[in-house]
Amino acid sequence: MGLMPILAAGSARLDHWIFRATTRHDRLIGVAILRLFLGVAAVGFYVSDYGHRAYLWGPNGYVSMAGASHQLKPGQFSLYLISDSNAWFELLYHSALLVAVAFTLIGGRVLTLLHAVLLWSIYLRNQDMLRGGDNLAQILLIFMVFTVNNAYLAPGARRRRATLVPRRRRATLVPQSQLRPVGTLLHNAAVVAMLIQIGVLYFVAGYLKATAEIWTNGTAMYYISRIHMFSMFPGFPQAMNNAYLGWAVNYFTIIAEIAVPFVIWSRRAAIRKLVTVSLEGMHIGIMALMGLVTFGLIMIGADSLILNDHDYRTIQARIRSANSTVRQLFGPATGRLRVRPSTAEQPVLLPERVGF
Amino acid sequence: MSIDRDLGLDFIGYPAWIRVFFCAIVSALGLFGLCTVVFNLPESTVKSRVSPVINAVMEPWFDQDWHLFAPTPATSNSQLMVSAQLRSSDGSIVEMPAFDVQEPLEDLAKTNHFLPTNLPMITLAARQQMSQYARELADIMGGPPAGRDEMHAELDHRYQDTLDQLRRFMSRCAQDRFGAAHIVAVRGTFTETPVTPFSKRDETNPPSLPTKTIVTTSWAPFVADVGK
Repeated sequence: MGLMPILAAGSARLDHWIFRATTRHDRLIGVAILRLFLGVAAVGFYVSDYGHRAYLWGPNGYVSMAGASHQLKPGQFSLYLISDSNAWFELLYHSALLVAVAFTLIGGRVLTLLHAVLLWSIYLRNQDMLRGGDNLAQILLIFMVFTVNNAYLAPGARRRRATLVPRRRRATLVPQSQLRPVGTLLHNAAVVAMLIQIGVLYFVAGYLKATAEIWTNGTAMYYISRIHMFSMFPGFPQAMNNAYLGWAVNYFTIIAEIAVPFVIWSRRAAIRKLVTVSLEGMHIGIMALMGLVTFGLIMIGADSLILNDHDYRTIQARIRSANSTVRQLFGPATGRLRVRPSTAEQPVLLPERVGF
Repeated sequence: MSIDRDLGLDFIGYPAWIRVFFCAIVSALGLFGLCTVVFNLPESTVKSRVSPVINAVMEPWFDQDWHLFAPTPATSNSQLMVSAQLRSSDGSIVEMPAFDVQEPLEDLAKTNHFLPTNLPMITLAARQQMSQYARELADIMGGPPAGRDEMHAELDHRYQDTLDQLRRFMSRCAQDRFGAAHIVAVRGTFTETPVTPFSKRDETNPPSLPTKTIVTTSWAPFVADVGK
């Protein structure tokens, strides 16, 4: 066999992979939900300490400008450290709040970039305020700049989706002139990078817990519930007083976290959904019981990326079906059946799994 | 690609630049994935050998530490007691009774369950840093007397920013309590009270565990109008 046929076969194989990675945007719904949650978390971060902003981040705050500068690593910057003028601080803070709101509602690459720069800036102005979830938000926002994060849950989302996937009678027959491979490839690569990051984070978190005695002997939640700062409701420590419940919560957390990297690309949608719902339940609990609201919002956003668009569509279909059943059972008897046209998109005939 | 040419479409294969771009993106993803995994591995000889390369990729933009996601929960509640020296009308210095600033901040966060303030993070961060400071100071004081003063001075220099932050924070707390006019200096004492051990949680009279002092700072000059 000569060299040319091998090269031709390799080239065709490469084109096949490029085709798979550039014809459909992966996880558009998950990215949009992530945008929404990261945006709400950021707005919450700005608003929750609006009255203390000068004290926490201002030029005469408790962290001096020089002190904050010393904490920066080489290559890092914060716009808040450019000037010690109070007017500059106020301008920046209020601009950042407005940009965070716009990012949440509208999205798009430019707003994501602006929001990322401004959020990094305030995080680096006072690093005492960071709670771990912020570290994840910082990294995810870098990748989100390359994604189409406003194809859902944003004004004009339907029109945007129409431009993303060219109209065609047969999905696999896409003329080259209609393909926009760079943008699609960047989106899909950024999604994969975010999933790698989320998978590593959860695995590390689960591994660290699984190797710490206080977690494996089932007493971690008992002690957490008795720390004054993290005990938002009197019922929380009382519940964790129960050895069985505390043990179950500990192991539920460890198993769900370690499972994440193994289910992200699983073909079993049911397992993916189960793990995602478990994680989101855990983070809702952390928000409500421990008061870590912005942390919980960031993590729920990240969890949303574990499900692909098909998962969301099946969930939506089941909710509609359940809703319809409930209406038929308990709704007013009108004597006739009202049928509404489905707003679901036409099925796309691309390969089910697009990515790497 | 012939399949599409046969069907009358112009999809005849990707240009070379797209192939190169695709390979570059896939390589970058592979590098990021590998570096992220190695960066998060437990410390080992291998990790320390490859760290310079891994860190060059990961820092500063992808720097990460997920230990907060699996904390070893504290087994004690901490307090930060702030003392202030005030100048009285006859010119003498009076030391006011110390007051806890940590619990009121934590309670403030509980007044708004939807948007709790981040103010308790100040004392949490200060406590972590000062606990480390106290450990290092204990090592110095437990070592040979020769060079002890120099080492202590070097330690204070390393923690200069932390100590300055703490001074500014305590100054504001003292100012809110006593007003700015007469405060001369402030000082903080970090203490902790152990939580009832898990094994004794159901006892009707669980043992009252004593509060322990972690570290007390020196008197530091007052800074007026922090954050105002």
